[in-house]
Amino acid sequence: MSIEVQSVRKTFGDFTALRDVSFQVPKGELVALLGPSGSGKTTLLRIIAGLEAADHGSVLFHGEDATDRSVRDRQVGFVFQHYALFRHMSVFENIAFGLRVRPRKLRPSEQEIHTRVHALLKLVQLDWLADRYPPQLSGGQRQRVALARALAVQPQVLLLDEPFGALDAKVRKELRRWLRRLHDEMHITSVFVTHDQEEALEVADRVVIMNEGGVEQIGTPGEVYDHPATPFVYHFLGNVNLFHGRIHEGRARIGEIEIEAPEHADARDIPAVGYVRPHDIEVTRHRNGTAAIEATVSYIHLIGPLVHIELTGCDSGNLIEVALSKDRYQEMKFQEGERVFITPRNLRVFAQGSQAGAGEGLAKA
Amino acid sequence: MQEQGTEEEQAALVLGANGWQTFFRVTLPNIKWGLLYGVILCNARAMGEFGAVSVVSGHIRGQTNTLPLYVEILYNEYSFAAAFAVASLLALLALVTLVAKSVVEWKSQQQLLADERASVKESV
Repeated sequence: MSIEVQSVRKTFGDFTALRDVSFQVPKGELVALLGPSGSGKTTLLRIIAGLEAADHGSVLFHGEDATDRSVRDRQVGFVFQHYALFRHMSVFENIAFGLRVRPRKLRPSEQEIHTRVHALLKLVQLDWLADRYPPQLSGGQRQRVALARALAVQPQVLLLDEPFGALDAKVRKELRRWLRRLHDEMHITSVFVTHDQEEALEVADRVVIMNEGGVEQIGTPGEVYDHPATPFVYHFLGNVNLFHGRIHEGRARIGEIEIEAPEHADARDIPAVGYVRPHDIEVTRHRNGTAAIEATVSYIHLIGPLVHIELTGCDSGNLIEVALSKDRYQEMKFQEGERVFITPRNLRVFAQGSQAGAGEGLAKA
Repeated sequence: MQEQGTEEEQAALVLGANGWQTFFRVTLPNIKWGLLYGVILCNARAMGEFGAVSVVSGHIRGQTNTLPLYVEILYNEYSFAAAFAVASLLALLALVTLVAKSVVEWKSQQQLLADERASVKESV
């Protein structure tokens, strides 16, 4: 079942949690709502579930308006951040709850409940824990019980609120791969909330990036990482270097480097900021005929698959971070204190102060 | 109840339970020991009531009377044997209540500890 959110607005007193948020989740997709804390992502999820009412706007399930449908009738599965398992019930009873509370006519027989719960327990690989109580389980086990409980009612939509937030790093990694596999098997339309960019980019089919109650960008993990639409997305997804310059009539000038910025054609000498990812910077010893920025190597960090080099810009004094492959580093053997020239391979210019004034330009290197 | 939060109730609602089912299957089991403890304390207080009943309800024998007041009436009528018998009964009831209170207290303490352990586990 597809989900559509149309210009949903929500305020708590003076605080605007969501301002006219719209997006669509096609049937069978796994979508991540990604944003820093306080960006309204959990509120949005709760509005989709029906646990919270929007002040304005509507939520559509399968093209039908579900805004006024109650939580019970929405047929959603919801996994809470702290799982909210019924602590006085065994794991078996927790999972069976959704089936047992059905009206008598729709309630499956005891036999059927038994087979269904055990099938679900097998699915989450916990069939040996059926008689335990929630306080006796580990975090990862509780998480999987919560998921099985949500799936027991055969929901059309699965909503997960920070599903891995309360787990330690190792369990988290395992569980998110497992969730991905589970989704690929079941193809149930799912939305999950996270503040962990790595998690969102690894697990989701599409990512909705939120900030201060609004949507910044929607796209596949590749799109949002490689082509951020706003400065916020640049900052939020991975490291980025900033270069200050000016734009004038569709051309941006940053130090010696001049690039096309056609979407700023009517700009008249306004301040601008160029954004470059650390791995999109070329470092050379000599100026090979192209415009470059001069910098000094201040620190070399050799741990991990990439070599991270910190440079100080000679004009600006800004810190510039560069990531090089180990091979390239071995070839060049940069030393601390050395003078080098850098040219950005993929530079994107935004007019300063404008969040929305997005534009792209490739450095002529 | 405030400490327990409303997440479990919300979970029950999402799973399709109605208000009554949520109350009887989720809320009540979670608060039952606390509730029972309250009932026992309240009962103990009611058994020993003297002044308010004496002044307000007029202590009519067999209708609006409490055990302590009955002891007083019997004593004033010089039926000492009956008065002491009722007083002993009252003392016995007090002991029963005390035992019940201790049992429930121990039970709810156990539940609190289990909850605490669970939340500590969660936060680790």
